[in-house]
Amino acid sequence: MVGVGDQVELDRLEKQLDAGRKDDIVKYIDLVRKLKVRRSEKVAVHGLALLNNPSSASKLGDEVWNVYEQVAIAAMDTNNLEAAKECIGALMRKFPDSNRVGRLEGMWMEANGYWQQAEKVYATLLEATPADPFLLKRKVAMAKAQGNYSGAVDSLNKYLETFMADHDAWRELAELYTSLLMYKQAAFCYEELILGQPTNALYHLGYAELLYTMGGLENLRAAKKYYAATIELSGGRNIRALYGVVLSGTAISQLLKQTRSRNEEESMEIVTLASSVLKREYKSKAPRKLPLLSPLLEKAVSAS
Amino acid sequence: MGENKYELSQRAYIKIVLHALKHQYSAVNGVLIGKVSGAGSGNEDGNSKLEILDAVPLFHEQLGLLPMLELALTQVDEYLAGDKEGLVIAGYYHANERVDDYELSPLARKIGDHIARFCPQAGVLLLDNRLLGSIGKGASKKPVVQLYTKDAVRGWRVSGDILLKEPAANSILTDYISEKREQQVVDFDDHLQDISKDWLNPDLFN
Repeated sequence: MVGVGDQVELDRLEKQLDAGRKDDIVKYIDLVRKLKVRRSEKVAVHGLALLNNPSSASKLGDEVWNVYEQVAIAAMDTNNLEAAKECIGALMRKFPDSNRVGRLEGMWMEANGYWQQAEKVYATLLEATPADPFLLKRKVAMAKAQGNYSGAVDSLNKYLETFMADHDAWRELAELYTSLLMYKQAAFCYEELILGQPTNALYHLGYAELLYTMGGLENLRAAKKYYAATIELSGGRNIRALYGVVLSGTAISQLLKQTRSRNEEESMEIVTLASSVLKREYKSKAPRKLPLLSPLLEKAVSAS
Repeated sequence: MGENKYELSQRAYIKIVLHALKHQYSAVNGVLIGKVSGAGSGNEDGNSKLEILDAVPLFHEQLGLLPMLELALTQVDEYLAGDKEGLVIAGYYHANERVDDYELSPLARKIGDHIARFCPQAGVLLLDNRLLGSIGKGASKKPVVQLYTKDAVRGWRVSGDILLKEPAANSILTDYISEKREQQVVDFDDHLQDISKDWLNPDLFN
């Protein structure tokens, strides 16, 4: 999750590179590394140019090894396995006994689809460092890459037994469960995430979306609450959450009408509020789309 | 009882492929828009012709979640109702995350079912990721999508080849790819992030 300021700077540097200006390549590559975003095509192309130019490469000093690693991974991500091999070779010559470089070797095997060889590399490395989180995550990645989603789930669950504070891992697990249509288990992951970071709006949002997907009165009620929490935690403008409140509120009212539960009432105040915010936003930023919201918003109003 | 015929327009086809190419690291999906004609066009008994004339790219993240899918379908449906061209939601397209995965996943089937409620003859198009790499190179006229249709008993099954209405579609696609036009595709996820972005992609083919 990238902050707004960082995103602006990233976009600016990217535009520069696209326009052919090479002065800030190092800044760009550093920012990509810091933000952990996936810009493999640009990093591979411009990073390799940087490394192959002796004067610019020497200016990096010791940083050059970080760049070699980053470019190796970017090259593998864009199927330039030859270039990746060269970068890894340079790293191996400099750091002959490094676990970290060994990991890159394993990844190179993976990129080629040599799964068994990759497993061997990681197994050897794990002997030396059995609790290395990166190696354990490669196991998950390999299972996923081979389409073995349930195997990936198993490995990831095992990983989380030890590294239970790894939020990215919980999110990945939730995603795996969702693609397996195991919504309840995915929801559990989000519960862990919210416990760990109760003020992170995106976790509340993810949880709400899962609850809505699971359906039923209880879940829809909970979804509405978590959508509302998202709105509060995100300064009131998160469009998904605003829509979510309207959708879940409407669904709840319809369910209550169907079951004719007269005792159970649902407060639709927040639905009305969310509707007006949506109307206001669309009026100002996407007026041509505003008519498409009408049926949804009218339904919400009539349901209350 | 005959087979329904399915035809895919260049406009829809190119949008679908560009959407997939823009998000190479994830699965993507969207709805197909078109019209049904021919004898028996009110039912599933065959002899209908389903022309897929356009596509609306929907998601490249969290494909498995319901609320935004429902929302998107509502809005697309509402748009079509007001558009007066008589077009309807006519199907679903899906591209898998992995390059060597050419199965229609349970999730894709589920969404296909959901969308088929709008149109009994709905078709599902699954991108053949293996062929994506070769679009730019060869002179193949074959579409890089596989058609699935729904059988009442057996669910979604591979159907025959879908007909590309404009045979030059692949070469147009090649041109677009060479100028990285896929970066301009807007899907519903993009719209939710920034509502000024238009999922109708009105300027994509300018």
